[in-house]
Amino acid sequence: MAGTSNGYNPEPTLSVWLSREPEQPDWQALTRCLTPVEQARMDTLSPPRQLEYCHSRWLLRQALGHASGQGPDQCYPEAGRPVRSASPRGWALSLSHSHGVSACAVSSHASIGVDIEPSVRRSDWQRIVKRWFNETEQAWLLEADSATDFLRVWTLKEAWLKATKRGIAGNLQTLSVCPAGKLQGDDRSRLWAGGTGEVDGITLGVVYGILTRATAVQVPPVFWVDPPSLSREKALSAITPGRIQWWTTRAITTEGNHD
Amino acid sequence: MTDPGTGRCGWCGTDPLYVSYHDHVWGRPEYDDLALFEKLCLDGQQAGLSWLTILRKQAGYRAAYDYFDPVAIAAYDEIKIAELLANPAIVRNKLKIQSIIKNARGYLQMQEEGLSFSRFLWSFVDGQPRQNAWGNLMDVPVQTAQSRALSKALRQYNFTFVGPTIVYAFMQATGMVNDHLVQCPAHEKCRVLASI
Repeated sequence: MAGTSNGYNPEPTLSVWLSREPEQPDWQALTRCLTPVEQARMDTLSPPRQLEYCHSRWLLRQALGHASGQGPDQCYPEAGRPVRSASPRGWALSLSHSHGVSACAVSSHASIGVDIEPSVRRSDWQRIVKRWFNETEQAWLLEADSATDFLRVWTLKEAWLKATKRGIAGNLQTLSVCPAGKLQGDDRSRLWAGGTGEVDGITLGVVYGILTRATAVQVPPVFWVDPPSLSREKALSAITPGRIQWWTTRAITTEGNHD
Repeated sequence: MTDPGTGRCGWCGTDPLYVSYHDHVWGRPEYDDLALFEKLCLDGQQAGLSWLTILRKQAGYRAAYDYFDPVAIAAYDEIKIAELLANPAIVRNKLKIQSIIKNARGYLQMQEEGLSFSRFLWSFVDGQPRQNAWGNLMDVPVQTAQSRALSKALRQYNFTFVGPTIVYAFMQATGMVNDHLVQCPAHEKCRVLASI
């Protein structure tokens, strides 16, 4: 169970943070907390990618700052891929970016992965399903003929690969998604849970490590953060809860571990 | 060697598509930024394959890659890459797909720096097609000092699949060098085009 009789909840503290790129970025506010390594990386990028990069890194600090209670300005990730925090220590992180929106998922002590896509996105998804998904998924997704369902499954798979720290190549079948939303994965090194749903025009998938096998898994709250923009006078970035409609949230079974 | 009947460079064989490419495209000086970008990407796709394979897929490439619009390509993400990897109209190789995306980002970076892609490329031959006069296919080099320099410069902008041999094939095809054999009717045509 997620809670114990003395009220102590052993599960990780989870949250997902979203932010839209500002049209008139306040570059000073977006970049002032970058570490020298991040600043050097940013200098190698073209301007559109620079905004994406520093906006994501800014959001990471907001997410970590609010989740941990340490001020955002004192938070920063380890160098390299931003999957762990360096200050405060020990938080797991995951970033995603799509079409001008950044997402950052944080967990107080277990691996986490997040992926976002605009819900209106239309790709040649049938071709992707036929080529990369397993037979069960092919059958129900092609029958359902729904780009929405495809994006739910896709974001879950991407979040799964980020949480388990694997590349997409050859690994899209390591998490299987059933039409009723049941999830089965191949990583037995720990217990996992995941969910996908729609929040304000964004399809969001998130997968995270859990510590106890529960009948109802804990679901991360989702927040929107206003980015620093020159077109707004507010000094502080407002935080508003994201109204997420989950399609599925549940523990991920592995072989021999069915719920 | 040239074809004894037509005098054409022998490398294009008899396939009508290849012959037409030899007669109307290969060696004609090309100065358009986007046409040059498309050609450089396609030459990279050829690595390990025959050019005819890529030529036959050219329409498929244009449809799959947003008609080689660097802005669109630079924004490609995992969904788009998965879509391309499942598209039989192109060469389905992840490194080659990523190469076109990296090249588009390099192209845009040059643009941000105020550098025209065409002028950048042509600066390696001082803006003027080099006129060679080879009589024998065996004499035509596979890379030159210029192609090595251009290859190095492209790598500095993170272009990939742009080794000196690929780059030399690109320089020949886009008329930066006139490597039609002297006996081939296209040699004179390209020489005249270069002087306009």
